[in-house]
Amino acid sequence: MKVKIKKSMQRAGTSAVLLIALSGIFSYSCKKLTLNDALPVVAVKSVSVISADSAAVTGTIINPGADVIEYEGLCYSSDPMPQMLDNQYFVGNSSTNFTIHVPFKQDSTYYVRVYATNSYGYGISSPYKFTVAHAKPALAPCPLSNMKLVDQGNPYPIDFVYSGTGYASYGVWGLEVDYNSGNNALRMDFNKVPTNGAYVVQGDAGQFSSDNNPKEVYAELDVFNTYNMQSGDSVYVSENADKSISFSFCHLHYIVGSASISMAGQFTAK
Amino acid sequence: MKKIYLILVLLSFFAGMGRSSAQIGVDISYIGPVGPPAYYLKPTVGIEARVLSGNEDSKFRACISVGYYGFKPTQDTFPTVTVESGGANALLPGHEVIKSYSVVPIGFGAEYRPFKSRLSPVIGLEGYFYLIDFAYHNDVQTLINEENESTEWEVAIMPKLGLSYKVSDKLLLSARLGYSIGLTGTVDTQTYWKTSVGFIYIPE
Repeated sequence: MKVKIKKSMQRAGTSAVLLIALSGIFSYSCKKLTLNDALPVVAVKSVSVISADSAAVTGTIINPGADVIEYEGLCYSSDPMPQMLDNQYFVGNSSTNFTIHVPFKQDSTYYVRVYATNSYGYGISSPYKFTVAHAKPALAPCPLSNMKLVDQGNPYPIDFVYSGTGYASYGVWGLEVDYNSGNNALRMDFNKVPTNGAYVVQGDAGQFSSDNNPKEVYAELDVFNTYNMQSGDSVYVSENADKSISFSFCHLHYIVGSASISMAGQFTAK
Repeated sequence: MKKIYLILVLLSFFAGMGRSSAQIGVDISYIGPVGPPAYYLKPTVGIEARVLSGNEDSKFRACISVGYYGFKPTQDTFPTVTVESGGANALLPGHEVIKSYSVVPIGFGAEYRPFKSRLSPVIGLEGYFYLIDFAYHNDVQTLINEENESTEWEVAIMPKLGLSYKVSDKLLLSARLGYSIGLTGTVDTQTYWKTSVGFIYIPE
């Protein structure tokens, strides 16, 4: 009788343990997921302006989701909710923090979102708003007098400055500076109306046109012949309150024969 | 799909009924997807008809079953991304909508009851052939916008563990927990937890 009761208790005990185990596993199997649990979670960590026409956007992977990250990228636009295909930039999985350089325009507000993909899909961040301020005025780092040019060491007062889209030979906006009683003319071409900042001389007119770089300038000197200014020198631009634009430069080089001749000057275009 | 299902149900039942000592039962199961499918498919309730061979007193019994599970998606839409590696080299966002996802499980296996008492643990092993039918809408921006429907299959193995309780000479109740492990098929292997309660009718 005792043996029978003991066996019966053993069976009941085994069954109870099983029941508890089954309940535990059942509870685990009831765990509800959605695909969002498998997708990466990302955020914009920072946006910093790194030059007159570019910014560095850093995104961070907060959670890679249920699989490894395949791509990291960003999209931006002036719309408060940019979509993935708006100005899209992406790279292969680099690291938890990824930085991508993007072009921008001054005086503009952008909204940027970063995203990351894994085998389940993609996660995209909330928009991050950043404004690109107007660049500061730039002045040539040398002593100059306004409305004067120094050519081959000789100072010349400037007679006239003409400017506007009609004076552009290669870009979209140009100017002509007449000096030496109208016998000499310095011409400059820009790919857009110049704004505050430093512009770099591109000495090859064809290259200047194909670059279409908003921070390049093409310059040439018209005496009896035409001499183009050599690449690499800088022209500094400063916007004035009365909407006029001041230009200054310490060195613009042109070649006559085997001699390299330097020009300096400062003038204002209305 | 429904025709296949009906034919299989009938065949299974006739096969089982043909044996004088066979018992017939019905299981209601709670099926919880595991792994990647868990992100797409909500747990669901399924039903299965079962036929057990052999005398109800025997420790080993073979069983066959046919059932139906209909899964619902965990989200209305699932974001997707496609790499366009042509000239554009872009990441194209998109989404999928699961319209329907149903499974017809056909099982063959064996059970072992160590005790002949009213209440006894049960362990078993089943092989499953899953017929999986699903329909979805696929949208990839600038590239694809289409409806798809597909029927796939998978072979799986499911160890199970549970309890059975003989209520009367004609009725046996059971509760089991199984873990179905996908082995091969035309879809990515799928794994389920399957918790079942059911009854077995014991004929004269």
